[in-house]
Amino acid sequence: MADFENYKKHIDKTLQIEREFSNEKLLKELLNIVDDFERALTTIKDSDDLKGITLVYNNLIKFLHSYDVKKIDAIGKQLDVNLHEVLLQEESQEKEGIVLEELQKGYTYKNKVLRYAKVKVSQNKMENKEE
Amino acid sequence: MGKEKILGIDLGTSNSQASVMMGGTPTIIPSAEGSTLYGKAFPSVVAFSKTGELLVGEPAKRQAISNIEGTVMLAKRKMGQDYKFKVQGKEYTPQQISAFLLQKIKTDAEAFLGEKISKAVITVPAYFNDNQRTATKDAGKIAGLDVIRLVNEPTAAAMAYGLGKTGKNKILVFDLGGGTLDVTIMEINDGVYNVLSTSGDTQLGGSDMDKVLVQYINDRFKQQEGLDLSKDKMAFQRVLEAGEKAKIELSKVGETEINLPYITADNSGPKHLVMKITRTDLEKLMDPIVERCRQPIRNALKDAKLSKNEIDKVILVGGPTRMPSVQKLVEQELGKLPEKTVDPMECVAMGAAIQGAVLAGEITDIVLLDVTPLTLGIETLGNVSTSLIDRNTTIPVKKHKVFSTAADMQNAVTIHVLQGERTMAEDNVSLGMFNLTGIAPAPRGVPQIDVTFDIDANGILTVSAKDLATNKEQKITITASTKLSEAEINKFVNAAKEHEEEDKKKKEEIEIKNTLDTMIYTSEKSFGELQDKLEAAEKIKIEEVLKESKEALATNDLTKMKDATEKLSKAMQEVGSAIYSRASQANGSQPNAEGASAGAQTDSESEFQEEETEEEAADVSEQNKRAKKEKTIDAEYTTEKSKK
Repeated sequence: MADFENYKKHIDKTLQIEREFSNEKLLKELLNIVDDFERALTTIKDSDDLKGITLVYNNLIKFLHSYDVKKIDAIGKQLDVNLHEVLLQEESQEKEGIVLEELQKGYTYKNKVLRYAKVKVSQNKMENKEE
Repeated sequence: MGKEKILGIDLGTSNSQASVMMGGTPTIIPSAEGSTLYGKAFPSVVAFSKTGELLVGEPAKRQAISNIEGTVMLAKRKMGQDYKFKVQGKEYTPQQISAFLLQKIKTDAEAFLGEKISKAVITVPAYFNDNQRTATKDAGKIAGLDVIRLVNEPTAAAMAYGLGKTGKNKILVFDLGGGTLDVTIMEINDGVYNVLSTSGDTQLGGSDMDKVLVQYINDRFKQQEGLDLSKDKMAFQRVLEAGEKAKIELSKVGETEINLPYITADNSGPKHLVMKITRTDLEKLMDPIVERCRQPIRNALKDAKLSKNEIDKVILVGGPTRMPSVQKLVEQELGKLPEKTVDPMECVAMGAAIQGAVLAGEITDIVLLDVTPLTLGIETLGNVSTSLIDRNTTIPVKKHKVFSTAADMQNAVTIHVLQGERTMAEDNVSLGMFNLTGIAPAPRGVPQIDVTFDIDANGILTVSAKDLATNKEQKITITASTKLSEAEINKFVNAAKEHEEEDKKKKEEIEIKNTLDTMIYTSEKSFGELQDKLEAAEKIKIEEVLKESKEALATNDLTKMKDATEKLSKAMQEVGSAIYSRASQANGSQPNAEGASAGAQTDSESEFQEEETEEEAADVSEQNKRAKKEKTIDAEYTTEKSKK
């Protein structure tokens, strides 16, 4: 009986998690399209087109916000492996491990990371010499 | 309250996974920070940040590029070796690194289950040697886990399929992982698993496939647009992800489109990567890699002495086996459709969980037997490696052989434990060495040294030597590290094959020499004892033959030694039968008594498996025959090292 109770408790917990994150996969896929939109916006020269597409993009971001999807701050911050994934490292005057560039934006969904920010971090010449 | 859960852990080279039995089905444990719902794998990566913080699994992997010196990967490849990872000024053994992974898995499993975990079943490759197995068990211990069983990975996979609960089956497990291919053939008999052969390629896997596909996408884009994406880290990252996705999609559909808008830009404006890839395209690309899977399958069949028709079931393990072209090749080679009902990525961990449940008493209809990856033996006279437990022997196993001394009044023997397929001791790996001293002074060949090799269910070897006259005993458990990697194991087996002829010849030479040497010794001894029963002519004849034999031995010439052995043996037999016919008195009671004492020895070893007892009994009777014939115990002698 105790076994069954435990199992039931476990299933309840699992179902709760499932419900909470059932949109996760869908939203994650959507992020790729958000990226594409952003790339498009940086290259469109025609101001009328730019205005229109910016409006579509803003709607998309608003929609994501309504689902509690938030962008992860990265640039200028100290590397946080719970939020960032390092793709590149570059020597710089900055302190060691500062995010210099965002290669792909990261997002959280309900306090859980939906996609890690893919970043380039600094490698301090001076600090490494001391070692 | 229910029984304590036993965690099943697939401790992998690049990724690890854990599973536990819940409500009768194995459930995969999600890692705590899985980026997706139920992120299932734990990357086998451990890192120490520059501030000294320990990172394990995904977080460690995410920072690896910025902290190469502080990150440890592929620790499994160093397991059981005398190797230290130097990280941030500190040294760690492969066991310690693996322990960090196990600790993390344990913590996440406890969070998932809401109960404490203290026991685990861990899987290891079938070819892992004793040191590697001991190291794996130690890693568990360091992590606070009682590793109650190590299970071979293919065995776990077969268990996940629930194969062999009834009836007799021969199955082939085809495990194509990220970086290695392992092919294992097993026999399952009413729930008893028994490995017949293993084969593989340590440099073949899914990562090769990804590389080829990404290269292809990049090349085609270069043709279309004249731009090399591999130079743009961000663009290349997108190609990597898209390539992997396309590969997975093409396992289900015949054609897919890679669509990466604004992949890059040049003076003329933005560039888009739009590319259709068909399954045929992919298969053409993968063909050289997939084709390399063929030979290991054939080798495994050959080693198991089976034809493909004798294989009843085929199991696929590892992500790349989801590819239709891989499945097709396996089907082609074996003429059978592989089993596909259990996720190939999860079946090893699930099998470990099932084994855990068996050991916890939740499941009772499966017994488990694994095998030794390489032959185990000791060094004997002439530096020959004498096998006690052959390669691919089912474990747990306990075998013993009686040896003797090589010289008169020898009071110590060195037991040199060896692992490998080669004939000469020096060509094999030394696992350890110990001396058994205090042997009662006696002529050579008289002391009986019983050497026992005992491999427990986890594949851990204990070697003991006992002087049957004094009951003095010495033993070692093999935990010392050797520098033997999986690649080296393969090298060993291959080397043994390559040197088969040469080794055989060497062994023959030594055997011929040893036989003659022994023959001269025993003849001289019996001659001395039988002086008063011999006629003068007989005495002269034997003295002459003995002299010739000694001369032959000194020449080291094989033919001469062989001839001399035969001649001496014939002369002694003639004399012997002459004496027997003269004296009608029976003389066979002494050897019989010896046989009986050896028999009692076997009986007292109650831990022998049924079949082993039979085998040992056969040994004893053979010994009996020998005793009657030659009055010596065994033709094998341990090398006398105490002389040095």
